[in-house]
Amino acid sequence: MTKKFHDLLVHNEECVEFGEKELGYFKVHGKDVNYVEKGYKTDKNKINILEAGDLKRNKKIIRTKNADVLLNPVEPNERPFDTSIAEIARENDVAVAITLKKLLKYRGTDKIKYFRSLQYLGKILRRRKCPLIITSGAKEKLEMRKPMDLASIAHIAGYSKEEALETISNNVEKINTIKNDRK
Amino acid sequence: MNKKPFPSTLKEKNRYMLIKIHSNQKISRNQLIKEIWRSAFENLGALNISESGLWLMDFNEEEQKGILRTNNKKQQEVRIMLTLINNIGNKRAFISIEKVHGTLKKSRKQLKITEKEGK
Repeated sequence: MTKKFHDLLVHNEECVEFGEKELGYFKVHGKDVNYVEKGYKTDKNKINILEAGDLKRNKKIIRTKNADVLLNPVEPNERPFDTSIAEIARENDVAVAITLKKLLKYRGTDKIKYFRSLQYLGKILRRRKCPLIITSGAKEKLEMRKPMDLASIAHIAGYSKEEALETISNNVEKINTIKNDRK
Repeated sequence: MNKKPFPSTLKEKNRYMLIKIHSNQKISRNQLIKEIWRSAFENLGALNISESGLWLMDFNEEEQKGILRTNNKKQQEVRIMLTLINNIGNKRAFISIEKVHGTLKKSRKQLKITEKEGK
């Protein structure tokens, strides 16, 4: 059964067209996503993606009504994410996502530290069976990647090939079904 | 005295990746090679590069497509290394892996097919 690949977060309509026509995504989510960088305001009709921060913010996000995704919870020098947050996130149907855009930002030792943080995150998420999603977070089309290339990022976090494909297919579709059930 | 041939059972299994460059400007072969090695050193390190047997076999500058050789066991690492490339020769670009073949002949056939379609 062929899988349907999704890119959960792009900031531009041009990326949606490029992703669906040229890169082979089933769906690239642009307008149906509510991206919240600061604050906790959610929209019940859209997929709510909230940017992570310190430990206090992350604990509040996973308990926020209608929150669907916690984005980029770890940094090279900080890891405000633990097993209890992962467990509560799973119970409240909140997935954890990482963007390729953030990964491309780092160089040298910062990149090595960020890889290490992703491995830490991967271990906790697999232990508590909390879903991981990988997205490009692209603002222009040259920041996007093909589905298989995007999924390979999960390998850095210690995921197997099959688990990596889930991060761009089934885990995103589960959010859509949960959203529809809430309506 | 002649050297004995390398036993075929010890030969490594290679994979030939058909890659495509997406960019607003044309990238030359030398620029691509430089960037691949830079990214490989930064993300994989000397030991992993030696184990992967990385080599750019062919590159068509007009179509911006090429064939990259890697080892069977290091496919995933090379894929990550290519995904993390954001610039080639100071130009914004990214590399996508179109297909992976087990033989060079098949991947060259694929490259020639895309050349013919372009004409």
